[in-house]
Amino acid sequence: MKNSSKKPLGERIQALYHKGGPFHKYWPLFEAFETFLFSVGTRTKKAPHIRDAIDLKRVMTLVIYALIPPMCLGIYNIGYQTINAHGMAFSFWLAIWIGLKIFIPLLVISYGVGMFWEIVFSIIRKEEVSEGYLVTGLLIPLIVPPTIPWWQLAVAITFAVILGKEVFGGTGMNIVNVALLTRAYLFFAHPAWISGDNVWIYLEKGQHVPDAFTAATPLSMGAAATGDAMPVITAKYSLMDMFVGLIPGSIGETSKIAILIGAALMVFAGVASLRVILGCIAGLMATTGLMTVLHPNPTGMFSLSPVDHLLMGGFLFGVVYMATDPVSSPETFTGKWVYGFLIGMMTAFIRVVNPAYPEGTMLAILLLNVFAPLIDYTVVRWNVRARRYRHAQ
Amino acid sequence: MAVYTVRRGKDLKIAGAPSPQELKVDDPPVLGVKPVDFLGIKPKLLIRENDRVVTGQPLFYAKGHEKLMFCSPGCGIVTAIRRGARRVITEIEVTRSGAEDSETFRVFRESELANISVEELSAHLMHGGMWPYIRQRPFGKIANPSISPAVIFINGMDTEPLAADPCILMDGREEDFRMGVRVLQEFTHGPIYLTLPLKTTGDPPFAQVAGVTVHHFTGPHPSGLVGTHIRHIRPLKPAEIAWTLRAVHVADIGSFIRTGKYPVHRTVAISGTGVAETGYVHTRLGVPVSALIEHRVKDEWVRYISGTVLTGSQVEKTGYLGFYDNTLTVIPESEKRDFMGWAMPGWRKYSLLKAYASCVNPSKTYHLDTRINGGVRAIVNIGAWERVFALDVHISYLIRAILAEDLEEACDLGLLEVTEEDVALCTFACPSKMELGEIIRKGLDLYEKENL
Repeated sequence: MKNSSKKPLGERIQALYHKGGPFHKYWPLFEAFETFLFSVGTRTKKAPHIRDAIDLKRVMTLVIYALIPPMCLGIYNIGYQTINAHGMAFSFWLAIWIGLKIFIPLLVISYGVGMFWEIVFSIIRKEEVSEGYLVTGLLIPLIVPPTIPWWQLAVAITFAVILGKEVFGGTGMNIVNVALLTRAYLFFAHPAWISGDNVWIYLEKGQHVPDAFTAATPLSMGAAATGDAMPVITAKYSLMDMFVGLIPGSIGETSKIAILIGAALMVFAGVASLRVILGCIAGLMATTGLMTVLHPNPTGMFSLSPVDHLLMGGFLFGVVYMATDPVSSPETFTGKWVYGFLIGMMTAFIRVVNPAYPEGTMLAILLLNVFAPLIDYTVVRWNVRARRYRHAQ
Repeated sequence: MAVYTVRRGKDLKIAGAPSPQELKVDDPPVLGVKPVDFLGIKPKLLIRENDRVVTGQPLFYAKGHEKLMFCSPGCGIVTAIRRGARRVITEIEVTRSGAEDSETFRVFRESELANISVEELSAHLMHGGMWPYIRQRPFGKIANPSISPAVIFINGMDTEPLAADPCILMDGREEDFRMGVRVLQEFTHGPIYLTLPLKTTGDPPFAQVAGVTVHHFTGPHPSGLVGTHIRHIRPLKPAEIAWTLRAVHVADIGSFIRTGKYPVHRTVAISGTGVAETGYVHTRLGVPVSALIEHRVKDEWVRYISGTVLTGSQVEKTGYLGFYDNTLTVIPESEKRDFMGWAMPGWRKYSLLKAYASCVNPSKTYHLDTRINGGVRAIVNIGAWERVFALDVHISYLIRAILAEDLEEACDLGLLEVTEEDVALCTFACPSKMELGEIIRKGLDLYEKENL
């Protein structure tokens, strides 16, 4: 009666990987593949006797589903930008084709390299392969420019997965978001390939490029503007372009509408914290709004309105998909608000005040990742103090 | 009198709630007592196999508490004393025979209660096997008779899924309940609280009793757990003890005092999707599961749970209903493995998150089985615990402190306010499939060991 759905052949294969079997060492790999195909059928041993149908695989899958809209728009936008740069005749399918040609190799490298390390460490630790990398693996190609050299990506992923996650004990134990750490590694180790005006658009070899061609992102145009920034930017990209995502940038970050759809899905499903997302947006809008109002003569980045800031750069993508990472963000409800607000605030400071880089989301989130335990500690101490106070009464 | 609204929590949409109809069952020929029902008690036997016992006769006492007796639920022969791992006594089986003889205890009139000392009264309750009904917070164990409780909580509600309705259990027991409350009054100078669900139909008749302060709770489970009540009505200070009793147990104590007989009557709800018809039966303490379900079970492969799906204990068909339990839940067992379940829409999967397509129909109820539905992972906190946890405790940090065996920190974080029943819903909801109840109990055990 038990296991009636399993076939004898399956059981025989299974036995090879169980304790005493010749391939027992590779049991984590087998288990990962097996539970990929069939959900686990184990039963509860004690109360509660029933369990929610959710597991970490499903949580990660939901995030992946939520990443599909920005991924699709991102793929389309790669092609769209390339076609525009070359002045080629526009065709939807050509745009998709160019986009896939760029994106698929990045995706394969990301999953290949990341899963390799994940499995190696699972075998060393004799643990089941965790699902943590499923999301990271899709996030990474979405937060790099389309022109990123493949070897750099592979090295950056290796660095981030091993030093950012596995040395701490794997999924659930990392301090900073692994995808952002990958990007930060590229940002500091190979700055020429991930910032500036020349990396955001893939150019086909042998195709004509106009002489006056530049592909500055709206944010870098804002930083370079000497007067009111918005007219300079909107001369090139309309607000609608920014909202739909037809602007140069990292692959997944450009389309705000796609990101909002993903955010709605994750918040509805309950896998992303609305507190963090709203906190971040409030922090960015409040800070940039204040800076514009308080500045005697707002020019350049100071002249951008809070809504302009939301539409530009990778802020929304970072906030929705990476600031909400449950492992590297605070766990207390109050902590999530504080953490979110501070991410928004730091992003605003880096964008507006810092002269070096026009985008600050990545660094703001990484910084607050590091501070997340401190925020939680403070909130938890309040609770402890309240308990002590109650006791003293 | 106050109304408290609990917001964080969830009433699980599980099918199989007991219908209010009365089911008939035969008088059980054998009865059982399970020493493992009594958390932290090491039984010392007073009888041997083949001894004849009468109703209310002590079967064993607690090691270290020679006066704390546990009594026979019926009259007959002790036909088996079963032991489990490490020779722990798991079951004492009494096969009923002969006339229904019963130990007779002293009968008290209400006016007499004021004249006897607390020590005498507690000795009387312990001798008569009534003391185990009085449990205490912190720890959720049988109350320590040497500490006077600062406050007593009587729980007149039950929000656990498929649980017996306390109003039905208390039907016609107003006099017993009144006497029970009167007995409890002797033990404390502090308040006695009776907690009831907020209903438009008003309070049940047993609530009309002097000497208690009534508070109402509304909202999803765990609004009916005593841990939630304590948090809202009167949180405990260090070294304070609260006694916690269920209303039906207070009535049993009252009946014992009034009649001088060990109360053996039990109303039991039979619930769950594993039985063909649900309902309530009138039977005895220590009733075997087989006598309750008879031929009502639909499928062979089911799990019998003495208590509820969230906090009950698994029993065999040949086993017995637990000492504290008024519910027998029968749910299907399953080891079915879904093909690529992580990617499928999941029209028939139940989750508190809106993670499956089934969430489009919020009024649907589910035939939940015993599958864990996932592998054990490290904590990835997406707020699943916090959303269903109603105490003023940062549960994820408390769990971590216990896992790190940092007891001082765990106490600061509120370890003593929690027992496993308070986190049962968190364990249900956990995407990492952690056993939070086990961790909480481990923390409480460690604390008790270090503070002996």
